[in-house]
This record gives sequence, structure tokens and C-alpha cells, in this order.
Amino acid sequence: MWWRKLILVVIGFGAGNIIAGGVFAFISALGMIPRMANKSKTRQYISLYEDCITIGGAFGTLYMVFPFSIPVGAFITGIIGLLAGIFIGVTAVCLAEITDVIPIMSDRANIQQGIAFLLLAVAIGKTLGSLAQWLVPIIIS
Amino acid sequence: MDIYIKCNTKYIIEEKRQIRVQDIAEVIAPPQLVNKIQQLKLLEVPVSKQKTYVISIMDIIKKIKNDFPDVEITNIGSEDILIEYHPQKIKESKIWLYVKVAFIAFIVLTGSTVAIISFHEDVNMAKVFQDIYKIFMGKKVDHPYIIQIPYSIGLILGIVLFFNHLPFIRFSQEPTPIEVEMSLYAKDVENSMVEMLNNEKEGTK
Repeated sequence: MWWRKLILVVIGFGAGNIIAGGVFAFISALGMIPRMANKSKTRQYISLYEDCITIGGAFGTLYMVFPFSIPVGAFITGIIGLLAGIFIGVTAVCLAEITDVIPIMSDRANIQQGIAFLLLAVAIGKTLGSLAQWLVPIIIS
Repeated sequence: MDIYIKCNTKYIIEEKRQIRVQDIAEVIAPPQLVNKIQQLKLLEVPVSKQKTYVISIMDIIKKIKNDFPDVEITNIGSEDILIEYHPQKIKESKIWLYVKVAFIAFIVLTGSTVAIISFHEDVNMAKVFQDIYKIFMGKKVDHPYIIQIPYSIGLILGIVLFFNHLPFIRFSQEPTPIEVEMSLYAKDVENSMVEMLNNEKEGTK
């Protein structure tokens, strides 16, 4: 029996390694951390941000293995929601940006000015979409 | 007489409004000329306001040629030089810096937690591990720890190997993937800044 367990251990270990590469290489290739570091002029702290990715990844994985709970109250949960929202928001825009959606669209439509308004529209649209997704089912029911 | 000049792409100038060659360029020239060249005025900031200016290497060559017509100039640096002018000395409080760093650190921390949990949910990782457990052990369990725990260790090791450092410990002097990404991004920003300012310049002519 022990060799079966060994196979499982090896599979688990390998899967973890590859998935870490996939998910976190994706996060760093999207380039949202350079953007945030650039905006806040904190370039010299990038390795701290990478450590935070490591800790966050470890934390999230730990949750899958042992679903635990840390009761911190509604207020801090709300703040965590806000922070996660900022992260996903930056990710979504970086994803759109890395695929050159906005430059291509504005070039096709021959728009030289007012790209800021396009970006604002994207932001408002995403907020409305997110709110609609969470709130509309509640309102209907 | 040969003169070599080398400039970086970007300079931050504080307070002084007259920008001379010595502020933005390294110059190799015959000793009797070097000081005169370094004192040549390149740009006078018109208004005391934070703004970025672009100087072309052509401007510098023209200025030098103007005063010393019989020299041979070779540029070995950047062709367009960005000058970020600040009317006052840049000072930033340490507290504000730490607040910003902590804010971004928390965003990244919660974000990557959400990212990995949502990835696991998205691909139904729990089910996948149950299936693999069933394949090799012949029975179904709710929590196949024998595969989940090595998976977690592997995942953390994978991230650490990818970034090549642990909290507060760096394994090598090489820049980390995000630092590489950062310098690429900074270069992109500088290039498009140069292009934008050059367009602006041409527009005013």
C-alpha cells in the first residue's frame, strides 16, 4: 500500500509546483504589481509585495485543506472585501490592457481624445455589473 | 577633437531652473573643453511648475557645435532625454510611504488569497483530488490529506522558486520576475512619454 501513497504524494507535490507556476506567473505577467508600485512610487518594496503573494497563496491553499475560520467581525471582513475588489479590478483592467482592447477599439473608431472617458465608462460598467450580480438576485427574491 | 557624450533616459531635476549639460550627461572631451561643455545651458524651465520636458540629443549636439564648431561628437547614450522638473525638493514623509506600502501589501495579500481560492473553486480542485485518491487508493474520501498536504507544500515551494526569495531572505542578486516586469514597464512609460512630448513639441511649431 505504501507505494500507492507515495504516488499520491508525488502527484500532489508536482501539481502544487506547476499550479504555483501557472497562477502566480500569470499574476506577475499581467503586471499589475509594477503598475501599483509605479503609481505609489514604492518600487523598492517590490520584493515585499512578492512575499505577500507567497503568503496569500499559502493562506488560500491552507483553506482548501483545512477549511478554518477567523472571526474578525463585519467591518474587517468588509475591508478585506474592498482590498480583494481593488486587486481583482486591477487584474481585470490589466487583462484588458495586455490584450490591447482599448487601443485597438479607439483606433478602429478613430478616437484620439477622450480615452479617459472610455476608461471611466469601463470602471463604472464593471462596478454596476458587479453590484448587479450580487444584489439583483436578492432584490428579485 | 573627439567628444563622447552619454545620457540616461530620465533625470529628476529639483529646484534649479537652468539645466546644463553636466546635469544630464557624462562627457568625455579634451581637458581644455570639458568644463566649458559641461557648463553649456540646455534648457531654461519657463515656469516654476512640476512638468516633464524632453531634450533630444540633437539639441545637445547643436549647442556644442555652436560653440565649438570643429569637434567630432559621438553619442553613446539615449537619444531622447526626459527631464522631470520639480520646483521644490521632493520630500516624502516616511509614515505616508509606509501607509502606501502597507495598503498595497494588503491588497496583494488578500488578492492572491482570493486568486488561489477562486482558482481551486473554478477547476473544482477538491473533486479532482478526490478522484485521484480514488484512482490510486480504490475508495472515496472527503479530505484526501495524503495528496492535499503535499500539494500545498509543492505550491508554496513553487511560488518561492518562482520569485526566488522568501520573506526577508533573498537567494540571489538577480532581479525577481516582478522587478524585471517593473523595469520593462518603466521603459515603456518613458518611451511613450518621449513620444507624447515630441508630438506636443511638433504641434507648437
